[in-house]
Amino acid sequence: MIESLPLQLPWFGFAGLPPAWLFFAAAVLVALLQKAEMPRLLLAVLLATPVLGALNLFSMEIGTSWVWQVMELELVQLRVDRLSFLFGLLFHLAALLGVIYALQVKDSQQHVAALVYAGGALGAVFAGDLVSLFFYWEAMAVSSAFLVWTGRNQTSAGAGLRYLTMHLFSGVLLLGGAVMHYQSTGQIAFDYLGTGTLAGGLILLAFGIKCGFPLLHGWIIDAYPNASPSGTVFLSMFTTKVAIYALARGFPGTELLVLIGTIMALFPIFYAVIENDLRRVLGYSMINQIGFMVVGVGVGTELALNGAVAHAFNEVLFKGLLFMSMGAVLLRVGHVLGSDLGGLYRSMPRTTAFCMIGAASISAFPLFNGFISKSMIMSAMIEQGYSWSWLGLLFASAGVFHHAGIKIPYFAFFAHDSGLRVSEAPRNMLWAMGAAAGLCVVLGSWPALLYGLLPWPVSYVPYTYPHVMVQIQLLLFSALAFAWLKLAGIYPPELRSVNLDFDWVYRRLIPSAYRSGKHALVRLSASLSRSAQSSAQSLREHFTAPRKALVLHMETGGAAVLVGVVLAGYLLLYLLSAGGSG
Amino acid sequence: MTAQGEKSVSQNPAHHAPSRAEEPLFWVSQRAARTVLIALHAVAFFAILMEWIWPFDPNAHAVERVHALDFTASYALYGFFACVILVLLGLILRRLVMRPETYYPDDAA
Repeated sequence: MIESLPLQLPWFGFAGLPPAWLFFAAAVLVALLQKAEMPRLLLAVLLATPVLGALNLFSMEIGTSWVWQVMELELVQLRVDRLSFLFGLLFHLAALLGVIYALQVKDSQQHVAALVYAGGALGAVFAGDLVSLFFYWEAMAVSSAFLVWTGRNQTSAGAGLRYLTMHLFSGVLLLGGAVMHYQSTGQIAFDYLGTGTLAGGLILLAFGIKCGFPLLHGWIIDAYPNASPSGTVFLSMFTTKVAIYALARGFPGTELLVLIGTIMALFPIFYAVIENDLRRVLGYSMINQIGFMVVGVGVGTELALNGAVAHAFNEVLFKGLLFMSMGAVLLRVGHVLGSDLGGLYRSMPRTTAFCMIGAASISAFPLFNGFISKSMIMSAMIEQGYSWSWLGLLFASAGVFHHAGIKIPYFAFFAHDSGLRVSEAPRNMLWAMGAAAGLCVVLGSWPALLYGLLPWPVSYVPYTYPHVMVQIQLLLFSALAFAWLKLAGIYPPELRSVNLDFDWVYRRLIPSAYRSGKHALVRLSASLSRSAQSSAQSLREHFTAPRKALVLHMETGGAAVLVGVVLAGYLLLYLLSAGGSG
Repeated sequence: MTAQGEKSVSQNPAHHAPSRAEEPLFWVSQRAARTVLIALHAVAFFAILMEWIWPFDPNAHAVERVHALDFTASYALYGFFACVILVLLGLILRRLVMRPETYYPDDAA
């Protein structure tokens, strides 16, 4: 890793504060200002926080600081190197874009949750030990659940609870792994961990939940489409990227990740083709893109790791932009169902243009930022001989163009005219989308700007004649396939529906198994109770019924005579035995 | 999913236009769609022609190609058939996993 930071403002003269603290303090301030009913000052604090945070970031130096000694543990609040710096810069940028996008939101709970969430993400990437990482991990989990609940309906309430459960479980795994790691090594430093121990396996699983590994991905497609427009934009920018950072720090070169990442890149594209909710399509698309990054971490060479983190940087911009454009549609129309949209380019031309820039970027068109980072991972795979996975990722590249590059803008803004006539997105949303779109184009056109920030030295040149031409061939012929399938009437129409995914297990299977089990227990209990009652009844009847062998019914006088006879017999026997012995 | 968390600030709320004009093919209108389609075909086949005239140096920087795909227009064919397979498998998947909107009780609320 390069031993100097790419951006520094030395005149600040101090080594910087842990960025998380700034955001946590801002969250408290925003809550107080909301109570004091000072909305203008509140907006100023919201905007100033990421800007001041970035200045704080630029004052940092390589190394560790803010180290707390708690009993035998060294808790490192600020570990600065090129990797943490890159993600720190990314999260400040993401927070600024998210805050601008959400400026029209009057819900202070969302602002507070967003600031705590961004702070948690920053804390996680600058944490130098596993215990501090756990603390920020959980802060992210709780605050982001509040962002899911900003949907303010029953669906988002349920989705938020499921989201929180998954993420708290991830935290439990992380803590368990950290404790085991400490017991076996006596260390809690967050560096390379590997999968050779149970502790490493638990921590990988914890990161995998946050990353959306296959079968652990349900929370992404469950929660992201159910938050408010700006809530989803925030959610899309931090959690999964923190997980990529954590994988790159703790598990570089883990071969298992190549397989996992390839599956992640492939399976969501089939779901995305048939999904009707366009924000859920973007959720699937996010899993697909994270798959590329996971593969990059798994390959583990400098080129692959640079590609993974560069793609994470770019994905925040283009996926954030796509979520922003769908959020603007949701705000204006009230839904983002592909079956009921279409023709919105007439009403929302700027949003349409920004969405198309996001679509071109995620598809990795030359001159857009996806082109300069995705190809780094693909090239590294070829270099290391992962040919089959490479073919899978090439398939996924064509697929992502299909669903995110074509489907999203096509069904939302073009296709048939749905007749919807709405206003253009609010101005602050347009600013945020414009800034993200501008960055997608600038970084795509001048890759050195991003390459200069990467943790390891870069000699990769993306703009060569063959590379540009093969990418154009791949994308244009994918577009031709879409057009021909559409003309032939084979392309699946958008239908109001729900598609079963792994979340079915905990949304239907487990609840219905629980209900069935509960009913079975109730029935068993009732049946036992009935049979016990019936046995008791029959016993009672048995012992109390008339004409039974062991029971003699007689009047009190008769009983007295009987007792007298027995006593007389006893006396007689006694006298006889006494006479005999005398 | 509705945007209940954030109220629209639109002064011109969504409403449906009274009538639909010409039903477009893909885009703005039949004519525009045809123009776009013709342009798409032209550029796509021009990209193959370029490769045929000036073949790629397999050792050039950033070329991503396995030996199995080391022939002219391999990326074009791969992209095309990948999308066709994707859609066909997607149709099969839809038969397996599609359920009514009200399938999950809390979504139906």
